[in-house]
Amino acid sequence: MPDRLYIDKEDRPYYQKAEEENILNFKNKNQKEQFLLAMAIGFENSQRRELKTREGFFFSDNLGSEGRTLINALAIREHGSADILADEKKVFDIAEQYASAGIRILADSIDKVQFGKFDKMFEKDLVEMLNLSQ
Amino acid sequence: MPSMNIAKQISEVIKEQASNDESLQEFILAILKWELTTKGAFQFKENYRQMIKQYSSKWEDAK
Amino acid sequence: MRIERIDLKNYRQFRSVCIDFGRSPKEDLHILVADNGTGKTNLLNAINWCLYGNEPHLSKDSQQLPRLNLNTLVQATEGTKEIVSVELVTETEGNRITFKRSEEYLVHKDRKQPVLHDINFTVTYLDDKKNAKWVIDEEATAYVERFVPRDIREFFFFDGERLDTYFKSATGQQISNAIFRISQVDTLNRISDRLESVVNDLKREAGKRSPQIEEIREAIEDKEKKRKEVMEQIAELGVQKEDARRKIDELNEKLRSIPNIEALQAEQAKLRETYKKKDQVRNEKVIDKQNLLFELGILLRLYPTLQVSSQVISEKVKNKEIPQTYDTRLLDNILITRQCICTRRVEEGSSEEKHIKQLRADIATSSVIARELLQMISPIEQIKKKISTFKSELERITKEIQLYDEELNDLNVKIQSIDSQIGGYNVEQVKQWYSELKDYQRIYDFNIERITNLKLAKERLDKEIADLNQDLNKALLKEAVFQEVRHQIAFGNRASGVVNNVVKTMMDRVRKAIENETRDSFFNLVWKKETFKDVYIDENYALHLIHGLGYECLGSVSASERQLLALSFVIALHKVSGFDSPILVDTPVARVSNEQRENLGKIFYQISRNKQLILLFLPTEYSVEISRNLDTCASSMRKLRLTKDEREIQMEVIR
Repeated sequence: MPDRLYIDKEDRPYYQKAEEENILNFKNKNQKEQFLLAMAIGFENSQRRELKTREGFFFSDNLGSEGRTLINALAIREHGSADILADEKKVFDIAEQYASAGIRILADSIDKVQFGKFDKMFEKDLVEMLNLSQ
Repeated sequence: MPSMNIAKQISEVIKEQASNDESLQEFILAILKWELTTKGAFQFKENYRQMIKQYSSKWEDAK
Repeated sequence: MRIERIDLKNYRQFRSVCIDFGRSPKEDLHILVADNGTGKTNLLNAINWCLYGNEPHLSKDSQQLPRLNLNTLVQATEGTKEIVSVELVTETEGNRITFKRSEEYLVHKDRKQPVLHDINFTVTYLDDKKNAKWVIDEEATAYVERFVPRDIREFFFFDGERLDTYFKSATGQQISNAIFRISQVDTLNRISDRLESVVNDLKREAGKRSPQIEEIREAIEDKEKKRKEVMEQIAELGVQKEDARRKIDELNEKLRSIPNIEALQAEQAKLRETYKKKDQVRNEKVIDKQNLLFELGILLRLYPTLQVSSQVISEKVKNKEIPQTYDTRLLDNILITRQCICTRRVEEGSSEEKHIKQLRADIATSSVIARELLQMISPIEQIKKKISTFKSELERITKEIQLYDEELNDLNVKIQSIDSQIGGYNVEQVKQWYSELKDYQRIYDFNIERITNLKLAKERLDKEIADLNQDLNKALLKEAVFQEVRHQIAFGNRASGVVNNVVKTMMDRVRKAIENETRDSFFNLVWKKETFKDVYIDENYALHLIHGLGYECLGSVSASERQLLALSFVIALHKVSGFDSPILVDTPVARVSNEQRENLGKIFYQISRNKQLILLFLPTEYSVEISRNLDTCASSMRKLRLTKDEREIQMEVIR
């Protein structure tokens, strides 16, 4: 059973970028939170990426019930049934791949947006998302 | 514009200030004339005493 | 009275110069233009020397030189007598009066300075029968005093550059002296002093004959001495008080348009402190918002997956797959006992055994799945709740941040407003001025209090002296032998009292007359009539110029306005005193800006229509702005320059 969740070594610079720009107070977020956001963005954009060189990012014990729920839900959605939950490694793999794609998308959109305007854009997108979902 | 004619004004004011006292008026005017003529000569006491004596003899002390 | 001609012989650079001041029909304006060092100021000195025997405007260089012209001195042979003379020919009411001063010098070649041998001062005039008469000594001096009295000559022949500082302070003392002299109050004061002296003599003589009278007399003398001291102190404090008042006016004028910087800085510091605190709170709220967005950024994006999971969980709950109800202990027991619940034997390796093992494994797997799913139920509910309140939370926090932004903006505006109020000022300088203002105000108030107390003391002394005089009178009345002296003393005292009242009245009248004339002149001549409201001379003889807005502004007006006020005052003095003598000004506009020179030029022209005006300009002063107005109306215009050896003046007549 994997005790930690991994990122690709090549993902680090993208996480660092987000920290440097400190979008959404990124630099004060722990690795788990950063990972989950990357994962969510990857899912939103339906992009997964295989990890080439695996590096431990955070311990799975730190996931917490909400984090675990999100990762499981993603895996169920991806697999099509809850059976995937029996294989924790597979569940983590899915999460890791979405996160790996997601952090790149995040870094890219940071570049595309005018400095200091990321948060505002993010907020706008979220509100739109919320309005659509209701 | 005519000048003030200070000397004349002084005489008038003396008369005002010493109204109803002719001896006093005359005395002061006399002293003034003497002063202006001699232009502050040092030896004044004798003349002053003389004039005081002269004019005060005609003067009634308004008491 | 006007100057017709000045004839200078061997007087300093003026070896042989005759300056004619013939007037034009309408104006009596005379212009001389000369560089510094040419002898321009020595012309002023020449007139002073001729009339009064001294040269009040001598430069340091000139002070070292003999009055005798240097070329004359150098070219003279040993033992010769050379004469220095200045002759001033004046005209008054058809009568010509000539003032001439001369000095005879003996030249010794081995000495740098010639030796003064003889002095002469004569005044020549025509009597009623047009016979020439001349007077010397005191009689001659008397004529000078009638022309321009020595005490107030600085109001007739003056240095324009000094005038700026003179009236900047406008001390009551200087004006009081001028008024004193003009009102002939000096004579009256002398009479008063002399009466007092003679009366004291009478008292002393009576005192010699009566110890009681002597005692009272001594007491009176003592009190009078104290009274005199008190009055001197009052006068001195009055001057100090005036100085302080002037300083206060000057500083108030400086600070008039300057805000109270100290107070503003304190306010600004407070505002900055508040800003800092609010900014901190605002920043915390921004972070809260960021955190909210971050969290919901994750949850909202993954919401579809949660919906799916919710459905799966619901299905399984509906199908009673979760929570699991299988009892695995039963299956474990079968495998251990090898006996099924139906009592059939379960052989090792049999299909039944395989089936049971598979079942057991499946149950184990589905337990894991079920456990995971069960553990998801509560978090999903919580997430749903968060999402449902997200919008209102976001709106709330956004609004809060906005409010803080508004408050911070307001604070910033206030802070910057203070910056712009303070900015541009030399803050340290301004603080110093405020500090000085407080100090002078303290001095002023303190002096007022002291003066009040001294005045009370004087009143007490007055009463005591009056009481003692009554006692003296009573003592004198007692004996017939003192009757006459008592009478004379009373007379003398009464006369003294009258004279003192006359002094007060005359000083006041003359002050008022001069004040009115100064005001009329000033407002008649000033170019910006609306700027000023009033001119007055207060009872301490200080000159005041009041701005249209009501405040004292003598200390802060421009040089030209000050010059104008000085000229107005001088004209007033002339009119009131009756000394209708010419005005001569050396460097009249040196301190005045070009723009204002034009105005002063017009004023000189106007003055010259009623009075002889002689102006000595530097070439730089006689700029276009002046010449524009004066070139055409000057009765005479001359240029003075020095010869190459700088020892003689050459005069060029322009007009």
